[in-house]
Amino acid sequence: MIKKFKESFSINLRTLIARAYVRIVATHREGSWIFLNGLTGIISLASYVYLYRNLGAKKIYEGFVIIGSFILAFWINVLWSIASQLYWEKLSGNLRYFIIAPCSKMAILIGMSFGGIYMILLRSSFVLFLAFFVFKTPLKYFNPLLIFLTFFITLFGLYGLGMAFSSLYLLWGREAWHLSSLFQEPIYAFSGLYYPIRVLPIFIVIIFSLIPLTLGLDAMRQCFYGKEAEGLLNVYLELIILTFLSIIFIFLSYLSLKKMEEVARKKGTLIERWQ
Amino acid sequence: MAIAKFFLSAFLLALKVESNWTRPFWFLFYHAIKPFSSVILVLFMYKAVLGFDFKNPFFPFIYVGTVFWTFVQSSTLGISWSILSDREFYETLKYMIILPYSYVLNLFGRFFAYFILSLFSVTILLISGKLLFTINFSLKILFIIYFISSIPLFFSTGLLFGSLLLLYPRYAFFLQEFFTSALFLISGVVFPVKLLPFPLNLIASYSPITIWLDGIRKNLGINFLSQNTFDPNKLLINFLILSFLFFILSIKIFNITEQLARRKGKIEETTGG
Repeated sequence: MIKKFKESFSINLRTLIARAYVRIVATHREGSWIFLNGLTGIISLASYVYLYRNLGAKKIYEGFVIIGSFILAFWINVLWSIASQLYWEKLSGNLRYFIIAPCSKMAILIGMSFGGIYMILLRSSFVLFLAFFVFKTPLKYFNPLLIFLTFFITLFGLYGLGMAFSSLYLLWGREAWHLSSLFQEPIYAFSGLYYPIRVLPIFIVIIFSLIPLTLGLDAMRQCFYGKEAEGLLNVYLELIILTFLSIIFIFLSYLSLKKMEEVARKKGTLIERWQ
Repeated sequence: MAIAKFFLSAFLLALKVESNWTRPFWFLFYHAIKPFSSVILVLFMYKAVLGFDFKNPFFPFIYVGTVFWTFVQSSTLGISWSILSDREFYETLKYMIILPYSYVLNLFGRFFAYFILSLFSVTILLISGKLLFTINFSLKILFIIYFISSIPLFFSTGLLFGSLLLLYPRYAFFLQEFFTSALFLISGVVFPVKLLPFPLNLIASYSPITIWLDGIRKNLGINFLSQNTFDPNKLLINFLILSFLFFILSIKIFNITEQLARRKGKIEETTGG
């Protein structure tokens, strides 16, 4: 029993490292892209910083835009590189190998998530520090431990949701592109990406709090700006809700991956392309 | 006649690909709903600072800018995505290139499909602006001229950005995001370009899209303009000259990159998994 567990653990750990390795190496393959991606991030958020300046908003609102853009990069990565990934793998012909490999599909997705987090963290940190420097946005309150805890619990929730979506995306097939677009922009609008979530009507806040981006962003803003962030709930309460949501998403992803594999094997859709 | 037929088939192809062969009702519903999100984001940012004060002259400025930006975004990304999907996804770029008609004409047909879809979204957003936020639009005759002359401008912008993708692998799609974000910043969509630091404000003032947006605003009865380099009464002539020059430049650049892509064997090169 222990031997079997050790063997299974070893295979899954190696799978995890192997899948993360691909993305870590890809991050460094073209150094100029890290710079260009960072520049894209700065340019994208600059428009919204200038919008707040023109509206005469408090300086910390510019900080909201910077923090929002930092977390947003992870959400985009979750949609396009975790949720859609199994579908892309099907198109490129790798999915069949993932299915016949003697490892857990969860280990593959967790490995991809680690690699994705590393890739985005490197680029987004560049944007975060440069943006605070360029726009001279003040930091009112700073608790490094709480910031790291909030950040990692938010990522846990976001990537857990991405993993839960991945099998659904695979079943929906060609709709993956439209689904990611649909999950992208409306969620920018209603998750309080660049503004305090309290601005939204409460029923919208409740619905969109099911996506870890909403509470994660609110908690991050509170970590940087304290009470001035006009937070929705107490940070610790938000962290408890986020942890709870993350566990549910991970459990759902485990169930849906099993179901997806079963359905795909029965229908013979693992090797088809364009569908 | 044959050219018109070719154009029409490219137009219909783009509609089919974009709609993913779904039912027209759902497709139009999707296009009616989706652009609201960018407007809503800006709307709540506005509300966070100024509350529900929609009488502020800056509100229609932001609203119209965000709504009409839909044209620029969908045309530029539409053309780039058409090129990328032809080469990487459907692997049909080489067949498109060897057709008896120009690939540029094919792209124009597909661009026009994106333009018509944006027109549908923009119309709904303008009606919503009038009904929900009581923005007083007063349509002037010059609006039609600005609107029609924007077609070659958007096509050439999309073509210019898309030409880069002929030379780079799939991952270079982020270059499109870079250029689209840069264009959003310097086009005075949500704030006046006067706010930008030098020399960005100067570049922004000479951007045909900045002038076009100001022309559209002015001819919808909104007097809050983004740039102050050109006399508001001479906007149209400046716009026509700059967009014509931009059109010529982008066609030239596209032809050069297409020739380069052929020479370097990039036409049928796919990025792989």
